[in-house]
Amino acid sequence: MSLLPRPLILLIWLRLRASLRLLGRTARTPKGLAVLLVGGVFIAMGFVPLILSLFIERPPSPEAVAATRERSLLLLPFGILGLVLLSVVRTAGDGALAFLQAEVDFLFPAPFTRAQLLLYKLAQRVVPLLWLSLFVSVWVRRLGQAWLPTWVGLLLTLWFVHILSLCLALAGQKFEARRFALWRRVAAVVTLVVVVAGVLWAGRAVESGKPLEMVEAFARSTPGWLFTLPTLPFARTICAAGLTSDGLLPVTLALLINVALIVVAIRLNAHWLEAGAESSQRLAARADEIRRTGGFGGGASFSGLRMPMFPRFGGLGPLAWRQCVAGIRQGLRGLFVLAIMVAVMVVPPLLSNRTNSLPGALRPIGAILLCYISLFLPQVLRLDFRADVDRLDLLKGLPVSPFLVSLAQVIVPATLITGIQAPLGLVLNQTLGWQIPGLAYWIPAAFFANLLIASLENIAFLLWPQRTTRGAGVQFAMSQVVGQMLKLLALAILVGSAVAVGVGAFVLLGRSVPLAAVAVASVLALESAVTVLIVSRLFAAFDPAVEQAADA
Amino acid sequence: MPDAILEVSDYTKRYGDVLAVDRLSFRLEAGQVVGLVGPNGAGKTTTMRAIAGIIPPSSGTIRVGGHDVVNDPVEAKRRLVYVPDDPKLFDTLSVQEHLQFTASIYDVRDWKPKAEVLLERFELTPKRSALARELSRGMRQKLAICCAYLHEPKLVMFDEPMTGLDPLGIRTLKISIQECAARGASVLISSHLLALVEDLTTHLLILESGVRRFAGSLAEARASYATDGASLEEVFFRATAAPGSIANATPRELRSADGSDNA
Repeated sequence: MSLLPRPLILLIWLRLRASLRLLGRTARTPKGLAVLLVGGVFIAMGFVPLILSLFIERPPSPEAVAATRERSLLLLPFGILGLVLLSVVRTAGDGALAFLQAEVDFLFPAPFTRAQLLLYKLAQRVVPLLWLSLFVSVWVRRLGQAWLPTWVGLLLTLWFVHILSLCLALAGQKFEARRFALWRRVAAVVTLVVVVAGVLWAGRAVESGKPLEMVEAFARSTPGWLFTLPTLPFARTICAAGLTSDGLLPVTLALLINVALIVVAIRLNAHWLEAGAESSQRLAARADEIRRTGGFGGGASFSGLRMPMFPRFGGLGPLAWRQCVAGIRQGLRGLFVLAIMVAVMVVPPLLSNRTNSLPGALRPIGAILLCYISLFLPQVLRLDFRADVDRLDLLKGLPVSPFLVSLAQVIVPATLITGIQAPLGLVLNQTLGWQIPGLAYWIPAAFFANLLIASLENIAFLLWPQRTTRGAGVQFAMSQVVGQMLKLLALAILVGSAVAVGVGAFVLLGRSVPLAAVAVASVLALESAVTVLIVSRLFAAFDPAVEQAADA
Repeated sequence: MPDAILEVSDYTKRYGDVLAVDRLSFRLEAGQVVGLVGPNGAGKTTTMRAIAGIIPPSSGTIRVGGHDVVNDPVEAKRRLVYVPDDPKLFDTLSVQEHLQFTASIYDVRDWKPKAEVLLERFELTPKRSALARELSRGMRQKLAICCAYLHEPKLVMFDEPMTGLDPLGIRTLKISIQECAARGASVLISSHLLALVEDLTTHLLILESGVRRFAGSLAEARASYATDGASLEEVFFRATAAPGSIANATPRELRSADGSDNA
């Protein structure tokens, strides 16, 4: 019996060919071609300067190369150890056993052994890892001496982590899953504690007290060396000068470690098909949830909260009411994300602030936070067409004009976000000592800016109604990049023009803040009206049967 | 007794404290078309997935063509095919590629003429080059059925096979199931459409809360639970409903209960 049967190799090949074919099909439509071209340009902008620098930059001196290599060899094993610990903690149960739903339906009842299916999963994983390691190798090329061993080393390292996750998931199936998961986490935490203790112990002699130098000191010690021993072949491959010279031994050892882990995975012979099928179903449900809620769904909600029905207003009222109820019930999630945003922005300046007064240190952070709420919360509180991707047929079938449907979809997130932003801004104005006169006059402008952002989000969605659950790899990523860039560009132009009018009004109308605020709000209101109109036109023209099938 | 194509003995499936299927035993012989019916949560899909080798039994044995699905899964799976409710396809593969891949799995030589016949029969010929994600729900179902028939399995299992099919598709599937049985395969169909089960099946397996309520021929079912000529719906309700439940009421009793008799 062959290790990887011909049908499974055929499937890998067919899927690879299909993704290339899909790229070709995308390029046949003007919209698809534009996405590919602009996306390609963005990717090239990331890669080309790096590749050019390899040829243009003066090569570093042999001493500098040797010093970097020595440092990399000391630090990289700890980086790999970190990846391993992360995978040990994150492999919650059977996640590593997840397959595509189609694979479950076609391959699980088919005459393949469990070992063959595992090998298929591992082999199939190599293709994305090849791309990922290639991408990373260009960025970290200076860690090693030559690019090829760095690429191969990274590929083997990422594959090692993947196989290890699989082994842990299989061991969880073999033994009692819940208890095994607990022990695995305990082992990871103990390892982390021991490493930190080791670093602190070895770092006593480091005068500078810099964390990286303390890690290097631990790596030079015998316990540190022993601790990172299994990861050394991978680190040495990444830092090797060539695959046939000093890289030969570490490459061979790294390969042997991976092969040994694969043998362990097969020898475990766990009955994992049921867990794999369930895990796949959970993964599909999660992907679906991410698509609808932006990845923040599933948390606690105020499900008990009730709200009276709004007046009809030609259908706008009930639709806005529905969005409001959803928004309030997701409120806890929004506030949670807001709390994380505040913590991420506020804690580092608080820790580093030793001389300035506290409001002084937080003053710029508060302003950034207010802008960030407008840009980031719409991604979390998805109360518009993006959340209704599966209900577009229903919305289109309602006896309500497309304009009112679209307005209801964008007005609620804008209102809720302004409802968070406005009081926060007023409080920060007092506590951080901004002392901006007439800040309240700017609330209408903030509302219309939020309406504008929500409209642009929906324009992008209705133009590229991609579904992450069934998104097709490269062009999905490209369309997302293009969508985001165009959105930001449009936003910069529209808000910039409103600000310019505001500045003009301020200068020409006797330096009056309220008049400037009214001018900005008026321009933003006009722009919002136009963008909502565009949303409604796109919604009216949207054909769920065509768009969802073609872009699914 | 003729050799069984499927033999389920004391199959039990437990999820923690929940007993999904309790000591289920039955056998399928060549040419039998068995309707697997029961209320929601009866354990129908769990049983089919266990037979397909996707979920292992907590205890008991399942043998397909004499091969144990746990100990000898490859040989058992060679003889069966399972079409789940709402089958998932590879979105980026075409209709033709799905058939090519299936032929490769079951080592079907010279698959193209067979595939052409199936595509023609299920009206998928014009969609040969279409990607799976471009197909409607019904067409995806038809493609899954074509893939299932490609290697002429000994045991065919359908979970709600009619969902999404158009009338012609339903008719074609019914004829194909009868042909399948005629060439000596066993067919197990799980469905809530009792009229359809009655049309197609020779035997019946009724499950309720994981427990077998009845296994036998349709005539035996009528003899056990109703009178000759009674519909399967009547048999089903009598077999699964609690005493005194509305499900046990005769049509006359129902009419008199809502007053429509007087009207």
